[in-house]
Amino acid sequence: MSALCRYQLAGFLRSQRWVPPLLVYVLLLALVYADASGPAVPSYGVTAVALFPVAAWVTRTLLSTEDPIARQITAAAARGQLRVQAALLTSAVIAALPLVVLAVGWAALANPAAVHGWRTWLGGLGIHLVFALAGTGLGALAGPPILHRLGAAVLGITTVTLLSIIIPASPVAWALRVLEHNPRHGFTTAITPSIAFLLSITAVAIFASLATARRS
Amino acid sequence: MLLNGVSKRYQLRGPLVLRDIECSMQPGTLTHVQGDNGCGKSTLLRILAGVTVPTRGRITGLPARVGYVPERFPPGLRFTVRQYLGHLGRIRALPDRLTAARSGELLDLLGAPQIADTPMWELSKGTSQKVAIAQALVADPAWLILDEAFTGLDRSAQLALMEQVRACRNAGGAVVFTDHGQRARARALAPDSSLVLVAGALQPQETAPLERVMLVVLAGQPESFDVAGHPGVRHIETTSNSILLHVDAEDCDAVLAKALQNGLSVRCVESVG
Repeated sequence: MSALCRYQLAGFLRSQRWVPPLLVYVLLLALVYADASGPAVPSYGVTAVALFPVAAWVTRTLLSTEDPIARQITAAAARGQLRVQAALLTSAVIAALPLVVLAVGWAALANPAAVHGWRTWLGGLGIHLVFALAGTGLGALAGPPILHRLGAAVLGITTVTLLSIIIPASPVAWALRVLEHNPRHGFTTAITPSIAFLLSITAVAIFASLATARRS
Repeated sequence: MLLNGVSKRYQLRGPLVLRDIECSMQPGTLTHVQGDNGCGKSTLLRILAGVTVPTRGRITGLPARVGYVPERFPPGLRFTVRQYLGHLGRIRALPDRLTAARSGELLDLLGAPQIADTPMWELSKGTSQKVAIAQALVADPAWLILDEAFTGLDRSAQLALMEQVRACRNAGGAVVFTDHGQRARARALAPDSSLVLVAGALQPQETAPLERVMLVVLAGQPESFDVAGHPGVRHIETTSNSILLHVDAEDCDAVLAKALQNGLSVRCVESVG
């Protein structure tokens, strides 16, 4: 599995298709922290939720980077499409980790007064990781072998992101509200149900992607 | 290796590409898969390689070490030859040194010795085909699937590949190959069995041997040989000094002997299907 991840990540790095999502996310961080006043936590909310579509974009791109015929060779060597797909989704999570670290690190540099204590650090890493995982799930639904067309994938990721922010009952909007209204605390307790809900949807999405790959 | 009622469709309500395939392959044998374009050959080979799962039916006894050469090798891989073969070797859990030694040896045999550090996107079609073959053979596969692997190769590489196929079979491996249009080469490999696909279904073996009808061209006076009455002769064209015949393969030798007896000379004998 680690050899498969290494191969897929090497191909992804060489493709340079990771540059646009990274640039978009860096731009967003720069905008959020342009005015360095205020507590770290509401900014965490915005930058974490932004990771949702960005991680989805990274995942979708990773899933479609390897040529389909080359993927057949890889699948024959790895003994099955299921392992290739599992390695791709693992690689997508690994690829999102630098973005998580970047977001929390940027917050600490821009606003050292607000980011202090290991709870804020851990909370920041945790919330960004949750949305990176959720984005991986969304990208898994928007990528091969479930969705092959790029146009439909872009439309799908954008629509789901917008709706999940607009609809008040969605776990994303809920998490965003909790983070805004409880800047100092409540990170772990008030937000837990929405995170649990989000992660269970993600698990279903990952399962659907793996199951479709196995049957393809 | 057993296929039990294997069917495949790619889309939920799409057409069946393969229908109720029943066949088995033994270790140490060579199987030739034949059929027209779009008859399901490549899909069958993908299922045999474990790359695609059948929609219905079962495939059992797939060996662990599988080598697969797809019909078209993609041109745009973003690695050098050495990096690509190294990655695939590691995916197969082979030690790096073994992969390097074996793939170097294979590229030598195939007549592409100095390409290890060439980026894959700079390779010609034939040379990338050699890389595809090298990645399949690196693991000394017990199960080798060649989908049109001979097409696009130069003559010496074809011979080297034929040699590797024989070596794989002699070492107890099972080999399955398609080779469109080149019956002479398929015959030279002497397959142990032959599967014929027509529109996704397997043809019964008796009605579809490897070669059935031979084309015979004889030179001499057509009148000197009453060929029409000879058993096995299906079609005759004559000119003033030559005869062109289609003869059943099993009667071909008898027709040739008779023709030589009657003072004609043999110009050409080849399989036409």
